[in-house]
Amino acid sequence: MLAYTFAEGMQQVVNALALGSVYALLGLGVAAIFSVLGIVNFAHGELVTLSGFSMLLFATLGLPWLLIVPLAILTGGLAAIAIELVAFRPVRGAPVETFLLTSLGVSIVIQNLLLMFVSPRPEDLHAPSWTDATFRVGGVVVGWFDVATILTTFLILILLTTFFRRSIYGLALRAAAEDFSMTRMVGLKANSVITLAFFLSGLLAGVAAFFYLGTLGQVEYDSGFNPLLKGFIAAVMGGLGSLSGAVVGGYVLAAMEIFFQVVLPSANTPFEAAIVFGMVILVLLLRPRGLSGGLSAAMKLERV
Amino acid sequence: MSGAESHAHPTNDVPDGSSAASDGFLSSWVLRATTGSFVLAAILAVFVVVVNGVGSAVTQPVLIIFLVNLPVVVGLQTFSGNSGVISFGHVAFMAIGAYTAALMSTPVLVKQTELANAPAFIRNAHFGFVGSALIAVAVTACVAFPLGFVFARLAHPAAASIASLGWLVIAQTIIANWYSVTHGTATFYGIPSYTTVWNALLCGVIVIVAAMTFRRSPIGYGLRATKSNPLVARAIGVNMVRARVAAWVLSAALAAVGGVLYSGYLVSLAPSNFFFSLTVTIVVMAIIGGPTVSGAVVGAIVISVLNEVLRRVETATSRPGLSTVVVAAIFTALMMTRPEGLLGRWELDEIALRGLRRLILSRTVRLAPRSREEVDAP
Repeated sequence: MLAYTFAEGMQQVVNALALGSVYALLGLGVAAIFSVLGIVNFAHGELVTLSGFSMLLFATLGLPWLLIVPLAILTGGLAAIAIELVAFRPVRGAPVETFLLTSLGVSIVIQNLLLMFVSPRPEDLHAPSWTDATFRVGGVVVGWFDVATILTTFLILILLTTFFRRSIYGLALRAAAEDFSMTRMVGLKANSVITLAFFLSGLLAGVAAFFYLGTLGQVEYDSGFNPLLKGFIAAVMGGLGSLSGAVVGGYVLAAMEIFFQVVLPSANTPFEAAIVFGMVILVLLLRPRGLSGGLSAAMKLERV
Repeated sequence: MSGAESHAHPTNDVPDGSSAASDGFLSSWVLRATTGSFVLAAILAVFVVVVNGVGSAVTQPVLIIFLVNLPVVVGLQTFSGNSGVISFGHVAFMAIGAYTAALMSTPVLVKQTELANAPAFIRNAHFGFVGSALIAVAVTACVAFPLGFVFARLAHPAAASIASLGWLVIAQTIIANWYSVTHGTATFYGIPSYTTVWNALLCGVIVIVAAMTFRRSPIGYGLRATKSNPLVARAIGVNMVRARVAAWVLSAALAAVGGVLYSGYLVSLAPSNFFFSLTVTIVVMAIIGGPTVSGAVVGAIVISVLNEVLRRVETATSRPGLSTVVVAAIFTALMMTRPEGLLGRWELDEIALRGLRRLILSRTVRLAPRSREEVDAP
């Protein structure tokens, strides 16, 4: 079982980092909304699906991928703003569960509209050939796409950190996450802060969609379910509402998945998902507030 | 409810709860649980008898599927309606109940070929409907118990909801891959057809009584208090973890009853039947009526009827997905305009009692009173 060479080990590390990057982006998108509003967006997976279908649309229009990718990411951002307008704005101020249910409803409407009017089958994304290209470093076969995923995510994390630290908008978001009503009292418009949070969350979902669906090579009306689940778990494991926690949660989740894929005897590999989620539940049992133990404003409110 | 009503009961979620102990037997929680159960069970029985009496080849399956879903919906309500934590994991308990009942009731001869590698005690087990049902409920409750502590301890309700989605995936993965016992992703067949309208109705009544009794028991009131305000609840001595675990285990057991009925009606099982789409149906049924047992029953009836009507439109217009879109849209719109659900926060017997009281008051006191205080101080 442990007859793995160093090269094979390194290969799995690259796999885990690439997968973890996608999960981190998804978790970050979920946590961004939660940190500001204290609510969970069940339609986050649909942002991934919609970005995916927009990629398909732009690709069939014959646009170059250099244009398709930013447009698809932008679609994610705009779709997030639209979902906020439809599912969240009308019930602003309602109990937390209401948001969960309205966004669940919107998510199901979007899924079934895609099923009815776009396609009931998985559609090939015609991803460019460079998504499959690999190179070799000392016996380790590495996919360019994996490297791109990892580097882009690191770049995004650095940009986001700078954005949150240096820009006035980042400061507004952090203030809103800390104490939303106080933020409004000092003159920030609630709607613009919330729209900004959703736009950011949608952009992150768009980036994740490109890397996740690009690896899969196809998109379907319910493609968003798995990303949603992974983003949720990453965010909860990191401590709902903590942005850095969501990133850590994403990488830890991916590391566990790859670890169990490698370590489990082949007869038990189908149980990998159950074992990984079982581990997550164990983590939550021991640390009910997540790995980072982070508390968002919403959770603090609960305790005050 | 009018303004005067809510004025009379500032803590709306716990009506008359505080005075229950001191008012003697006639207003004890046992009596209120009994009346509540009786009213609701009678409504269910009348509904089932009438629909069954109209009985056609079309309404019969719809009626049975409604009765199969009902225990799961009421079970989900027992946890979510009282604790305020929405669970997406109860279909997993339904699946455990369904598979356990199937394993216990399927004839030994069928199991020898179908599950040749299963442990001997499973292959040789052969119980009737009641025996299988009891074992299924007990097994499910035992599985639910340790899990309950995770969901009881999670700090934020949303975190618990997400973790319950994780539990659904865990159960799904295990059932789909435990080939020697569950027949894996392939269909599990050969289950005797034991579900009828009448034993399903009986199960529905039992489930309603259990849910109503829990809701109006001291521990149920305590749990509802934690939903309104966790800190105040703790201050008056409610142990939230204990109350939530109790509700969780009971709700899982009730969901298992639905699973038992399911396997006895469809006589074959596949793991994919117990995943997200059924979860959404059950959650919508449980939420749309309101966070009460009555709300769960009414929600299950409304959505079952709506689904059936829309399914026919769907086949007539050949637009798959139409019924789901319409139900989800109605659900979303209702959650926006009336987050308390169709019935609001009151049980049907409470609504009836209030209506009756108001009727009597308006007859006896000619000059319509402005406030409750004027009526109560003759």
